[in-house]
Amino acid sequence: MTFNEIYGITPRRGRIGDVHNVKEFFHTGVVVFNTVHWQFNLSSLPADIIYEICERLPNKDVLKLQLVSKTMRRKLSKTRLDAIHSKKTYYLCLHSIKKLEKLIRNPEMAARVTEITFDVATPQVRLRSKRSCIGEANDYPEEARSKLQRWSSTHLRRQQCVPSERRPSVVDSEFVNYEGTVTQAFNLFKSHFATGIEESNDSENEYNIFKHITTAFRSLPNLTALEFAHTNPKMIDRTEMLQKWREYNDHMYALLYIDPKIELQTGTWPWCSWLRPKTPQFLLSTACPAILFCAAQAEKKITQVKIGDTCWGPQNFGMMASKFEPQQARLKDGTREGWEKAYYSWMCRYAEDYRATFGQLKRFELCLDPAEERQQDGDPTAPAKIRAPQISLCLLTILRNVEELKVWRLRGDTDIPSNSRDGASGFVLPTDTALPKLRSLEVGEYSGITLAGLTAFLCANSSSIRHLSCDMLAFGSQAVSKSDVLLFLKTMKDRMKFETFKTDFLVDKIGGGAESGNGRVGGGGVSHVYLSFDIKGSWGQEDCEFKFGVKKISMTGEEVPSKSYWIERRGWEEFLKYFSKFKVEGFEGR
Amino acid sequence: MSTIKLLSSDNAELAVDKEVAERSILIKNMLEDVGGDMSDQAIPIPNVNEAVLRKVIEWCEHHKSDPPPPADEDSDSRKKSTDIEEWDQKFMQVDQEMLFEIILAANYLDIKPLLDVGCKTVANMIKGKSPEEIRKTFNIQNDFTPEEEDQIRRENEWAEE
Repeated sequence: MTFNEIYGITPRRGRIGDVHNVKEFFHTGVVVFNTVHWQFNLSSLPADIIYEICERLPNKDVLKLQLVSKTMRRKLSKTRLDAIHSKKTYYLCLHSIKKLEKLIRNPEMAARVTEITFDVATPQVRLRSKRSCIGEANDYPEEARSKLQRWSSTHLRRQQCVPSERRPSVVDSEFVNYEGTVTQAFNLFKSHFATGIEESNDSENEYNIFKHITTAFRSLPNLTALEFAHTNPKMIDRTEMLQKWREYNDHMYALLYIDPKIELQTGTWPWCSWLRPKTPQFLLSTACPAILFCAAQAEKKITQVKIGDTCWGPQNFGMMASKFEPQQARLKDGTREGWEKAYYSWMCRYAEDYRATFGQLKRFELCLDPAEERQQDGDPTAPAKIRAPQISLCLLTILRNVEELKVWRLRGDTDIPSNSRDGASGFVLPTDTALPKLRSLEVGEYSGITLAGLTAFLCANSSSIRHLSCDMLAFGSQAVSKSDVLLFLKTMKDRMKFETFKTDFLVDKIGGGAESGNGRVGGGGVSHVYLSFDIKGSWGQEDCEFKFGVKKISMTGEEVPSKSYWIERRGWEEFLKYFSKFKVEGFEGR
Repeated sequence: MSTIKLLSSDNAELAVDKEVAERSILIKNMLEDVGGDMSDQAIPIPNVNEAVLRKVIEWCEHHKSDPPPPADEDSDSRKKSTDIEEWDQKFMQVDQEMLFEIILAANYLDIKPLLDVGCKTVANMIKGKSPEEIRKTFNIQNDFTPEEEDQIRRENEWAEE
């Protein structure tokens, strides 16, 4: 049989026909050609290709494509356009929140909003010290140096055309050497920064934002999801950056937009390292509780609380499980003396609001602060003993009906030994917390949980949890023994009704002079050996798929494929039989 | 290394290393279906003409040693970046007709990384341009009435807020 007979192809001359036939061919092996004359321009591309192109475009460019032609508009993905209108992002500053207020004045557009991302980063930039800027500029490559020189002299000429009373005092004389150019460029930046009007930073202004947000939430009838992000305003492309500057740093925009030739051909702006984002007014730990309170006050029904795009900066910390009530409410309702009384009074007052707002909570992502875990008791000279933080009643009220919970910490301390945690600190929530609707639990990196803590929490929620996933860094850096893993799995088999189970256990550390599972000590970096499980199906059923294997992770965090492997067994008995004899480097005999 | 023949829509027969041709998932699957031995007959690629097929083969040859494209969960971040390797940038410096034909051929032949490069190239041609500039770039006729255009603009303003 020939190829054409197999595929039912009748080759013919001519160009590509209707591209939808490509899919038909791919799926059915039959090609039906037509004789459409192909007009080669963007709008004549098939909708699925236009969709692919739009996937690589920011929202504002997709919106512009709507205006190109009727055909183009018809071919744009409706889902993408709806998403643009339904998902909004705002910075936590009054200027940005005013945009939200403008939006709610149009009820039709307000009704389309279902999800809001609050970015705790500040879009405003500041200039670094002269010393650090000039120090960096001295290391610029030749291309950057000459561009900077040209750019500076353009600005100098421009300034000389401005009447002297309106001209910022930047230069006293014309510099010719590079050092002089750098100083001149720095002074240009500095003089433009001096013209920028700063937003007030006082705390009254800060808390006013939340009043505005609460009011705005009341006019968003379909708002169900809240997301929190901390992006880095410098990590966006040039066009977007210029737009942000126009809006939030207009002095900088004026400086660079007039003569954008400052950038290198590669598109990089070496002197952007002269700028830093300003310190944010809010952190995740203050913004998230405050906005969840706004939602409760606005009587919203929130189904998802997520953590979005994050480029963690030094000031960016995770949420505090012990402080989940909004800071402004605490300041208002509580005092240092008798704080506890005031706190309970506050909770009694608002608990019902939280219950109503988060009663149908489907997903909650809890990104915790590492510092909270490191609290020590008493004597600072004594060996560290990890104390479980008192979990906020507010957080527990929010989580009461959650169905999917994801928890992790930011840059946690994996070196806290498990035996230094007290009994209750083996999980991120009190181990006896009952979450009756919790079906899926994801434990992410640096959570600092222990096997005992996880077991206790799972057993307390055995009637609901069906899906468990633990990151390889969830347990910290303490290697566990085979008997511990086996005991854990047997407990899970007896007590839980998992449908999916995906967990990595650290079983050995090799090299780096660290103590190894088998007592070996080596030089150089430390590699970690993980025992991984990926189990699908009901553990009691014979067809349950037990996949387990070994992952070796190098000191750089990369998996070493040659040292990793998987084994698959069907049914608990067969798995147990094989696993009992299973040997992992340094794992056997512990 | 075994060689196979591809037959373009305009009946040109092109010899190509099997390894290179298998960058196309469509051809790879076809070869698997027929048992891999296609030394005596050419595989018809009826939707791609000779000039485009040669360009596609050139790309596949250059990228024959590339690792397989990342799994689906990573593709989002891949799409978000519109960075294109220098060689690919030069490869895509063709007229628009050829550019679109390469994209369509990549889609048809199921060569995801080439489709990605093609779409990124077009995306970069659109980025930051006004609707009028986009029309000019791609030779598209504006068929909106001023009222229709105004209505879309008003809606877009809300989206950008």
